[in-house]
Amino acid sequence: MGETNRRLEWIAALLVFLAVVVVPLTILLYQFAYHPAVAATTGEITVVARAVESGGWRPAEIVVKRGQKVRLKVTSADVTHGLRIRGLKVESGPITPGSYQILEFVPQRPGRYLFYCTVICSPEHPEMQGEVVVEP
Amino acid sequence: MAQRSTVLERPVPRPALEAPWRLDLLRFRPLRWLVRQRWLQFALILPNLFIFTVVILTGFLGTPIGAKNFAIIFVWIVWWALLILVLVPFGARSWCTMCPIPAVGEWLQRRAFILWRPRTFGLNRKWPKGLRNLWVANFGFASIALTSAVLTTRPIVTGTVLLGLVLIAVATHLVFERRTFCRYLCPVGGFLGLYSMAAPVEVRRVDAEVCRRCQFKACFRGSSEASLQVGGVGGYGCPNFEFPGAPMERNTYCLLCTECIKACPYENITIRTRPFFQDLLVEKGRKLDEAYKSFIMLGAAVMYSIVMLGPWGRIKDWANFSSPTGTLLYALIFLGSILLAAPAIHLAFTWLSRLLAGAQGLSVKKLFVDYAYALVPLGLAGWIAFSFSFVLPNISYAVSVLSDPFGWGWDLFGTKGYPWTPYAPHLLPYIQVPVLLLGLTLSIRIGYGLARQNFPALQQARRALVPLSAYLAGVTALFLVLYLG
Repeated sequence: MGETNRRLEWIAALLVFLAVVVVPLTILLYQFAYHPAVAATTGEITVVARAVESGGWRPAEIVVKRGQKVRLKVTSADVTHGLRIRGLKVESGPITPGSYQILEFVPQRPGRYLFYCTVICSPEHPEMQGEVVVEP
Repeated sequence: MAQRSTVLERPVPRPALEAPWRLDLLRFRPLRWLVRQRWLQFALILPNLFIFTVVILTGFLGTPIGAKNFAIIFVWIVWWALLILVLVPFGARSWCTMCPIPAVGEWLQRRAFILWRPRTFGLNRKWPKGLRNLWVANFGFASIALTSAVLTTRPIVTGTVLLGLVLIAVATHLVFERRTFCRYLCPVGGFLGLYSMAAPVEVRRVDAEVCRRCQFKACFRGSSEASLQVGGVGGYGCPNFEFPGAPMERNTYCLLCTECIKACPYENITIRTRPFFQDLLVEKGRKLDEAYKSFIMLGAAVMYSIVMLGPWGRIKDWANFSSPTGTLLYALIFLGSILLAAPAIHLAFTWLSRLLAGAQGLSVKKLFVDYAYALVPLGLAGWIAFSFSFVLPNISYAVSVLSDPFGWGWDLFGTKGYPWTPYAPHLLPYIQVPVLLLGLTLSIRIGYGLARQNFPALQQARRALVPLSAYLAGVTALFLVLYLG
C-alpha cells in the first residue's frame, strides 16, 4: 500500500513537472528553433482601418527590416481613426473615412511594436491594435 | 461516548428524498466511488494548471494584441464564459475544486499532491479574527474590477495579476492554515460563493443524528487513525473552514473539494441536487460583508455595461487609464458607484420598505442585509446577460488563438486563419431580455420570501415588497436600456 502511494505521488510530481516546466520549455525551444517564415515587405504598405467589429486593422501585423525606410499609407474605411506606433514615435493624427495619410520612418531596433487606434471609434475601440515587427 | 459512536450503522442508510429534483447523487455507485478517490481533485487541477502555465507564458511573452493572445482570449472569454454561464449557475463553486491558483501552495502545505497526510508543512497560523470575513476579498475584487478595461485587453497585465495571485496563495498557504487564501482573500472566490447559493447542487450531511453522535468530526478536523478504523479513505478537514456536520446550510463557502466525503467515517456526507436559489432563504449566516459582495457584483455588472456597451467614448477612455485625470475620475465613479451609491440606494429602499410595512421596531440593518440576498438572482442574470454580449461576438478568436497562442505565427492545428466571426449577434436581445426578466422574477420571489421572514403578517410582507420590487425593476430597466438602447 505504502509503495503504491509513493508511486502515485511520483507520477503526480512527474505530471506537474511536465505541465509547468517541460511543456513550457519545449514551447520556447520550438519557437527558438522555428522561425515563422514571414516575408519582409518592401515599398509602400497600405494599412486600412476599420472598427474592430468590422475587422480592425488590415494588416494587423506589418513586418519590416531594421534600417530600411518604411512607408505606410494609412486610410479608414468606416469612421475616423488614428494610428500610433508605440516605441517608434510614429503618429498619424485623425484619419477620416476615405482620406489617407503617409507615414514614413526608419526603424533602428529589431523588436515588436504595438500600434493602435488613437481615436475612440467604437465600443471595441481598446481592442483596435496591431503590431509592427522589425526584423534584424 | 466513543462506544455510542462506533455502533452507528455504516454507511448511513440513504433515505429516498422527498421531491423529484432532490436527488442524492452518491446513491449512484460509480459516482460514490469516484468522489472517494484521492486523485480526483488532482486530475481536475492538472489540465487547468497546464492551461494556466500557458496563460502566464503568453501573457508575458506573447503578442500584446489582446485578440491574438491566448491569455486574453482563454481567460476573459473562454474561462469567463464557462464560469458565469455554466459552472456557477449549475455547479456552485466547482471551479474552486479545479482551480490551479491555490494548488501549488496547497501541495506544499500538505506535502503531497494526492495523498492524505496527517501532518502539514508551514507555520499553520490562524488568520486574524478581525479579518475572518469577505472584506479583503471585496476590496480586492473592487480593485481588480477597476482595472478591468486594461486587464482584459493587455496580456501582460493579465499575466502579472494571475502570477501575483499564485504567489500570494503560496505565501498564504505557507503561513496560514488550510485554504485561508480561498476563504478570505481570493477576489474571485467571494463572488463565486455568493452566486453558488443559486446552484442546484449541494454537499450536505445525510443524517443529523449520526453527526450529533460522531466523536471524530473528521469532516472538520480531518481523518485520524481512530476515524480511519471506523471508515473513510483519509481526508483533510474542510480546507475552507466549514463544518459540514454542524450542519453546513449554504453553498457559500463549500469548495466542492469532497475532502469531507473522503474523511467521514460513516459516509454521512453526500452531494445532492436541489431547486435553484435555495440557499438565499437560509437565515443563518447572513452578514454585511456578503451583502456588500452582492452590491459590488450588481453595481459592477451595471458599470461594465455602461463602460463597455454604452456609447460614451469618454468613459471608455477614462476606463483605459488614458490620462491621470480621467483615471482618477473613473476610479471615483466606479468605486463610488459600487461601494457607496449601490448600498445607499439599497438602504433607501430598505428604509422605505420598512416604512410601508409599518414595522418601525425592526432593525434597518438586519433588513438591509437580508434584502441584499434578493439581489443575487438579478445580479447573476445581469452578469450572464452582460457576458453574452461579449462572449458571442468574440469567442471565435479562440479558434485562431488555439493554433497561434503567442501570436508568433504558429499554426498548430491549421486554424490560425480562422476569421473573426461574431456568432448570432442578432439573437443577443432574445437571450438577454428573457435572462434579465427571469432574474427579476426570481429576485422578487426571493424578496417576498425575505419579507415574509421579517414581516410575519402577510399584508405587511406584501406592502414591504412594493419598494423592493420597484427597485429591482428599476435596475432591470437600466440593464435593458443599456443592452437594447
